[in-house]
Amino acid sequence: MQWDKVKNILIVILLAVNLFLLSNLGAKAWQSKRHAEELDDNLRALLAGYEQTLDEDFRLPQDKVLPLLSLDRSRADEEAAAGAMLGGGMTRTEQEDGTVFFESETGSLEWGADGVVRGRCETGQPAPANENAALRLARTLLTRWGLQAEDAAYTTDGLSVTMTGTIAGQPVHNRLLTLRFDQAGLAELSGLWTFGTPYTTARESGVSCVASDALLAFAANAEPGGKILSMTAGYRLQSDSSRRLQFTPTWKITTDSGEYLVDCAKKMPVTQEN
Amino acid sequence: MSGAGRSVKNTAKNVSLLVLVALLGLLCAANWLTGLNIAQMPGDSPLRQAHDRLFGGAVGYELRSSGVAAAEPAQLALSADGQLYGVQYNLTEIDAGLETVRGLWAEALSGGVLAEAAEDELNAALRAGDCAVLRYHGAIPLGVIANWMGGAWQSELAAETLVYAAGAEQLFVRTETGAVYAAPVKVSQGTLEAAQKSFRGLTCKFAGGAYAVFPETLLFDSETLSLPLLTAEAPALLDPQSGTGLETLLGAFKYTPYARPYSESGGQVRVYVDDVSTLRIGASGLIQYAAAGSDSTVRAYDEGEASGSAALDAQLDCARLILDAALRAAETDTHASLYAVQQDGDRTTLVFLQMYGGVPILGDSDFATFVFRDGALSSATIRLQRFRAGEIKRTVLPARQAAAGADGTKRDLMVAYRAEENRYVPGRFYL
Repeated sequence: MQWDKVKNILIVILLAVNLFLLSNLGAKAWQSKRHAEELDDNLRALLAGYEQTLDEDFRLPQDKVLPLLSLDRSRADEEAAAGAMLGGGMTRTEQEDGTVFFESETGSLEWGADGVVRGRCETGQPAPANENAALRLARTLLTRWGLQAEDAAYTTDGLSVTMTGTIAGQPVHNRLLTLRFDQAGLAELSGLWTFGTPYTTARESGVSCVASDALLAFAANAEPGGKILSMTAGYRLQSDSSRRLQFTPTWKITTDSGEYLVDCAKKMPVTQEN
Repeated sequence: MSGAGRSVKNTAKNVSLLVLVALLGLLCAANWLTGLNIAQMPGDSPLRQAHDRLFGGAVGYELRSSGVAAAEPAQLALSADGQLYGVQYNLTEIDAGLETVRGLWAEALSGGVLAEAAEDELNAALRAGDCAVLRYHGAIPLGVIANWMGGAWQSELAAETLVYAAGAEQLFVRTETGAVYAAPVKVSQGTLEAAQKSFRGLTCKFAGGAYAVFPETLLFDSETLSLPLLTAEAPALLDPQSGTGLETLLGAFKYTPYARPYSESGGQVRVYVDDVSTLRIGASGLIQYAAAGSDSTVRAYDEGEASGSAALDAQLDCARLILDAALRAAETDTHASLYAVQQDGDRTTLVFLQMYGGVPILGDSDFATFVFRDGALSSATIRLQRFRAGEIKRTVLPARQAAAGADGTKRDLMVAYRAEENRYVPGRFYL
């Protein structure tokens, strides 16, 4: 009988504590929702001050914490891609700034230390007749040359096909390859590309990507009268002072006049960087 | 109430208790998690990784205990088909060469017992078959080099030059005092051949016993190292037009951009002070950081978190990241390379030199010095300068001629920039 009473008391105490914890969580969730609504109202008011408007479908994305990632340049992968693209008899010349130049009878390819790639070669295929044929041929050629991406996405514009992909599950706003076909059966490759898996060090804590900060930083520097359509957190590829490739956390803001990048750490549009 | 009824009631109470206790645990965890600042968690935290997986953070990248090498080699060489090929003092060529020989050095530096060896032994091994050479600008702990290459080696020795002699199946280590140590080491034939296949360099030879320099000194066959003269200027860190340079520098030392400084020396020095540290930023480019004991704003690792080689790796990473940020802030177009490591109890001193395109720039004082105590940065000094390459180039005395002129008192050779009448002039020096 005594145990029965003890159990009753325990149940009441546990119920009370659980209700308190639940209400605490609920209060936090409610505060968070209210904060998000206030933030949305304030943002719209502040953006109006900068003569910027938010599209009706615009939703402020969740803030993210992304690590700063580094990547070692892979000359071996670059040479393998060039070999597959240009065929046998290819020559290789490395310039003082780290740019490697590949050349063969069928074309040439230039790969910079900062990941910039430019080249032109014969495809060995008839020129594609339309966008769909160009897309099919681009997929085939890029796969054959070993230029593949995680979560690869392709966009076409006439006989130009652009491939983008993700790094560490995040979009890299400026890492893309464009393949342009001409009627003579030649293909021109250009873009910014890397090979391999990026890394970070265990002590790196990451960079906070706060959507509202980035939006205001962009609006403060943008031409008045624009409409902001969407924004996405991801990375941008750049090389640092030691010529190491780095993926820097960056927002991409899409407006009715184009796409703009805002550095998450510096809270500054990328074009204004020093 | 009947016995069966009491039993049902008792079971219901027991189940309720269990459910409520489980709910208590869940609610406590949820309350705790909502109060956490994920941004402050290191990347190796399982909680951070779980958060990233669940909430769309970055996934699928490598997590390295120690990131990038804090020192660039000065020279690399590898022999193939009886001919020695080498690269030196060029960042691009060194980077490309290192990429091809990293696997070889990872195998060569995967453990062994070093014992003092005679120079004749090294000389004989150099002639005994294929060799690989890795030479740094200063003395780097062997364990640290092994870690950068992907190997592992427990040793207190600091190495300036490493020679792997495939014929003798030995690794030779030249220390900063000039002493030679050797350990039996074997690199697989496949790894050696893979490195030989892709390594590119200029033909060279070992000095051997023919000159009064170290026998492993590389003498290039047609060496024309022509380098521009440099002029130095102060970085525009305190210039209002310098963009985010100052903010980057403050961030490297964990100061917020909103910290309010005071000025000294007629506005030529800006001093930032917080509860435990002081950061002085001079218009001349002199950066001085000092912290009170272990209460530093900058920590390489938390107390008890790392020890031995892991502690040194963490301190090297910490110093390297600060230097990277400082060089980026000052837009110097140079980079830093580890030159010396001194460890004395809980105190670690790291000295860096500055390099222009792979060639060290030597001034009256060290470019950067970091002092850690128990993983906390207690002081740091960085002398930032911007260098401008002139149109005039100077050809450095070839190593073969320098070796021929050596008198035996100084047996090591080095190419570096040194200050001469407001300019930095490249030259070859005896060490």
